[in-house]
Amino acid sequence: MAPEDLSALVVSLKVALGASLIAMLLGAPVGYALSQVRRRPGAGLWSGLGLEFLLHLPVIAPPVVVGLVLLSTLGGAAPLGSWLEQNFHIQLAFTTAGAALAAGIVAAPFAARAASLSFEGVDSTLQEAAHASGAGRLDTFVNVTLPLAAPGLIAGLLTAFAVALGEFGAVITFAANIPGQTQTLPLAIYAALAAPGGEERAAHLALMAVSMAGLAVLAAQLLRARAQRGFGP
Amino acid sequence: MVRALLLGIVWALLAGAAASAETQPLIVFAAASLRQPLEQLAPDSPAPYVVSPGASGTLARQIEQHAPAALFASADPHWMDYLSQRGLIAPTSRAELARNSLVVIARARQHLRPLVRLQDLPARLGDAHWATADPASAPLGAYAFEALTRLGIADALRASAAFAQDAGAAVELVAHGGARYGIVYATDARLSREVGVELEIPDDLHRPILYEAAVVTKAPSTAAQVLAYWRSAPARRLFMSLGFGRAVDH
Amino acid sequence: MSLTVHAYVLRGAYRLEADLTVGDGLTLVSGASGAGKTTLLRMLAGLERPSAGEIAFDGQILSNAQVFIPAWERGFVTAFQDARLLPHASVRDNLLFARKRGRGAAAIFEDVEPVLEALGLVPLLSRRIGGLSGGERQRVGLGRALLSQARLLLLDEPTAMLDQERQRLVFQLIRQAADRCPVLVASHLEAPLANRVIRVENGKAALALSCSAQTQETQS
Repeated sequence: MAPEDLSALVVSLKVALGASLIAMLLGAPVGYALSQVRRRPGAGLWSGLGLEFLLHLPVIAPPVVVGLVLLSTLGGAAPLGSWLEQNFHIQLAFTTAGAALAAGIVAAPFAARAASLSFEGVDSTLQEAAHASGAGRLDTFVNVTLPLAAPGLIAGLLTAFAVALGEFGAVITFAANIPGQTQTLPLAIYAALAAPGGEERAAHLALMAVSMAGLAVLAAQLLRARAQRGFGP
Repeated sequence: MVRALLLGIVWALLAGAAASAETQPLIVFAAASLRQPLEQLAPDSPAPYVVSPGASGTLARQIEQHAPAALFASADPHWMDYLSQRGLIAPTSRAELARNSLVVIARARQHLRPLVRLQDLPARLGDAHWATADPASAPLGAYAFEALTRLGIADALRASAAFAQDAGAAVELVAHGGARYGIVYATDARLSREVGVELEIPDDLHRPILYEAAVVTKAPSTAAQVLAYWRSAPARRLFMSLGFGRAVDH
Repeated sequence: MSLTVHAYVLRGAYRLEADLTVGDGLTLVSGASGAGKTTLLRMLAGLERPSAGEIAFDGQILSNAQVFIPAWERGFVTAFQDARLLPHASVRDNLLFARKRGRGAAAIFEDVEPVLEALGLVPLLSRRIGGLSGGERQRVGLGRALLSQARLLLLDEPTAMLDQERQRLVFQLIRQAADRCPVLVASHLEAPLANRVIRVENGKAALALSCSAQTQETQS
């Protein structure tokens, strides 16, 4: 494997892992809020419409727009970005972390949807039983709701990982195409195809991306099995 | 175990965010079409650099947001002007790297009747389509229509135009998609073995297609050396071997 | 101990009015299926807010028009008719769930083993929740409540899925618990061991005044 290809693989791995975590951090609370609204007695067709809209925003916008919005708020010359740079020496644009943030925002709606469905599906009678055994709201959330929602949340994490792995527009716009730092597999494929004879390298890189996705599916399956032990006989 | 994995990910990301500048090679923001020549020139460069390819407009906006680029190589003078107006490039460093010209391509080995003049294109097309990049999003399309307008055949050809997202996609349309002809850069014609050049379009029918490079302000002093190297004779020969036209020195 | 209830629940066409005072010992809540025994227990547990009225425990208001103390702050523990065990936790962790959240009060049974023995739970400790039978699940659910530090126990049909011999043993255990902590048991069976009976019928829950030899009335 050529060193540039290995570097793209490593960057993709870091970015996709970071992005799926960010997607969960952003999406799970929205999904949880949506599930709570839906489960309330009297919830109808229009409940949670505002949250649903918020959830879908990054999906409606083209990924490049997500990248541009990030650039104009967190870029070095932008208000928030320059403030972070000057006071905390934190730069997000054009870094691996920035690439993870951009991909994470694009993947967040998928994580939110999975979270919403997972939390909605949690047996409320078990939450009642916890309350009736002395467990308060946070206690119940940590010890009952979360473990029961875990398999679905893991599935959401996997979806977010896959989306982030293939994300192009938001990453190249906010993080640029810097080999070794922000050049993920999709960005490397784009670079390869810009010149004659690049199809072979592009196919090679695409194969690496597919293999990575396959390994992710395997890992998610193992995690899900672990979360679900004890659910069955 | 899960905790350790999470900590590892966070650490790796932060390590990426705080990379020190001194030990890294220079970062060159280059239009995608310049990636290949600049990367091939890299081994003999006076200072090490990596090429970060993208669309000229996106690259310029990123430089405006303090992207860590030392050099900017653009396929569109408009975006070089953009940075120049904002004082983001060293003004005296702006220089031509190469030029490009337009060609008419068709699927290879088709043995069509030779296209002698561009003016014959409408008649030769008949009901078929011709491909080029969308003028709204890529300069190639703008240059193509400029040449066609100069000859007075732009209106005749507008209806049969198939606009592709970029030059590569236009080449693909001609190679496989059923567009009988395409107007692309001379360098793009080499992107696929499935297409061949039917006609070279004279340069005086459009504004010069320029590839320019400049040193970004606050870049290390070695950046200027790299730019000078790109304008040296051996570098020029490499550009021309890839199908680019000779740069004009001012 | 004194638990006073003057409250009612109104849900569409459904209405349950409860007017009663309960003291220490074992209180049987009796009535036909669907009469409202479960609704009464849920109201006392804090899982449902009465439409109007007041519930007080030893002078502390648990629920009225302004105040509603949530279930987890009342210090009561409920055993449900459908057991409601946590499928991701072990049998052991399920049994100790309420006991771990006792907020410093005294446990009903200081030693855990005798309770497990009486309920026949010892062979189940290493099993998974998913593999338990209906009767086994019910016993674990009851065990969870009996092993807690509740200041009041609410048991909803705790023996419905048990065979007769087991039912007798379990009720003996419940009677033991009732000597240390007030217990309300909803059951459509007659229980000779209760101190008092609350009858739920025709939308009303009230203390039964009966001359039947089977029930004792001990007003505390």
